[in-house]
Amino acid sequence: MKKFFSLAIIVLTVFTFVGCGQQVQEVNVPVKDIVEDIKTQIAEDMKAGGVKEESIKDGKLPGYMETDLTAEEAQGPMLELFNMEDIEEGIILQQMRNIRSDLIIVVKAKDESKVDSIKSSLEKIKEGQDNVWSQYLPDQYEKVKNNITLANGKYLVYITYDSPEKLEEIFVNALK
Amino acid sequence: MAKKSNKIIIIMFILFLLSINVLNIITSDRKFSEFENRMLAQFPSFKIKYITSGRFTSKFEEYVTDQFAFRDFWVSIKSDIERVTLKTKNHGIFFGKDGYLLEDYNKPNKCLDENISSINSFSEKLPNVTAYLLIAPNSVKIYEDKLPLFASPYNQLETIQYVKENLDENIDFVEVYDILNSKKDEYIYFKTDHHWTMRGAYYAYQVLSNYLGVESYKTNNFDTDIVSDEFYGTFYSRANNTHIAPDSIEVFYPKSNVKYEVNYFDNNKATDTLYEVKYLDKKDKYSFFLDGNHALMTIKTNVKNNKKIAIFKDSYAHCFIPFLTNHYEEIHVIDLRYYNLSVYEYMEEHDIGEALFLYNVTTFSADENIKKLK
Repeated sequence: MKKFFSLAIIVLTVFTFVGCGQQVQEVNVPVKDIVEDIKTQIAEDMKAGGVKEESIKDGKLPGYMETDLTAEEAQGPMLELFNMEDIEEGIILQQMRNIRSDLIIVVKAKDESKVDSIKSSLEKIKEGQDNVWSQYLPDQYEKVKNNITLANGKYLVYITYDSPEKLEEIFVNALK
Repeated sequence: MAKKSNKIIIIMFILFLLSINVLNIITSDRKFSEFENRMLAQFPSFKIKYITSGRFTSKFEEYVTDQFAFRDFWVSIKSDIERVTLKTKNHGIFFGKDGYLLEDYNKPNKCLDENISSINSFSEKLPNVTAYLLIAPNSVKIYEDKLPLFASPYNQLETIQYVKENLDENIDFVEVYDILNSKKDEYIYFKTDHHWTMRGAYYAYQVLSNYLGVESYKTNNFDTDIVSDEFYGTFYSRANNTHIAPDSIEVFYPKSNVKYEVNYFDNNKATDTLYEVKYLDKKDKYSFFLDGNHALMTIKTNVKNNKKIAIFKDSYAHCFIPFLTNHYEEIHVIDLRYYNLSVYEYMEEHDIGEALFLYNVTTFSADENIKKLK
């Protein structure tokens, strides 16, 4: 009996130590890589939707434009909603001039304390999208309503897309 | 005896509970509600992690509400009951007199200031471009006498005056309130929709032509035609009340022989007409004018006078622009809500000498996208 108890205690202790010692490994993935993965998925969806292969060249998605949040020349009303000091890296993938509500944003915060502030910026962007799309084209508004905004460590993603779950999974997997 | 009546009550109760559920299961799911003009929630995708995160349950609840058997009937019953109990407003829409639905308007906030200064900065950046701003009042102002008792939306004239006072003097402010107000006995606004009619747009065009320095066409230069008399607009969908008469859509066709080459750039569509008949069979009949909203479209006409104008607009412009096609060789129409490229590069590239900003008061007070001009 005594032996059993001591064994149990040893096992518990070992588990406890292992538990404490297990450090959460800090993931460090460039935002650009995550966006590339997301773009590959969008390209696939486009092809499945009948967009010709040759119109998707050099990783450029037809109709989309990519804005690097940290670039000096970057501008636009969406950028004003962010506090640039919160952001280490960030990319906005948006429609150039289309009546589509698709909008994807991936951001890496400078540190975890900034995540909440970035989250509230993304909420403002969501409000803006609500305003524009609740007036017109119910199918595009549906995408906005199904928007997924998610934080994982220092990383945040904002997805307004036909099948946001697909892109969410890519984001989550990229940070594993 | 008492037992027997209890049994009946119990059976009726169970039947009632079951029948609604059975009906919910056997009625097929709908994708879109014409009555409410919105997409209905579909059965959510099922994954264990969505259940633990609560996403599935909340989506499932939306699904059940949206796909409830005979939903349109219940929605209209609710609105009817509210009417009977003297409720005068539903989803921001007042039930006005004589079948008028009117949208509430609140005092604008700092967004209005930003929009004014954005247009000012447009004129600073492009001093050689002649700019005009036309702000159309909404039906809630013109038909304020139709408002229900105690309804008190903010006075749109104050907003219009405020814009005028704060606008850079290089920009021509086009005042259309007076003429619209004087023509209020005519059919110049839809009763069930948030737009003005083509007739309303015509009177505004008459005023604008004085600023543009062109001679406006008179009514006898047009043939008019009613293309639909069963238009139920956006206010109708928001008010959710079935006892409201539909609107009709009137179109002004110039008698002179103007030819058009119309290009929609988002879907690369080219056509030779300003009017898309296909929408007359659909819910969104206002899209008959210029195919509804587009980020960028151009109209080239056979009026060979080398004049080009850019129009930054909301959807009030759609039934207005046809009048301008009689005076310009090229019209470039940009909707800042959807256009994310540089406006300035576009103006330069196409060597455009005039710019018209055309918005209704409600949009101009709250649209966050005019800031893109800064």
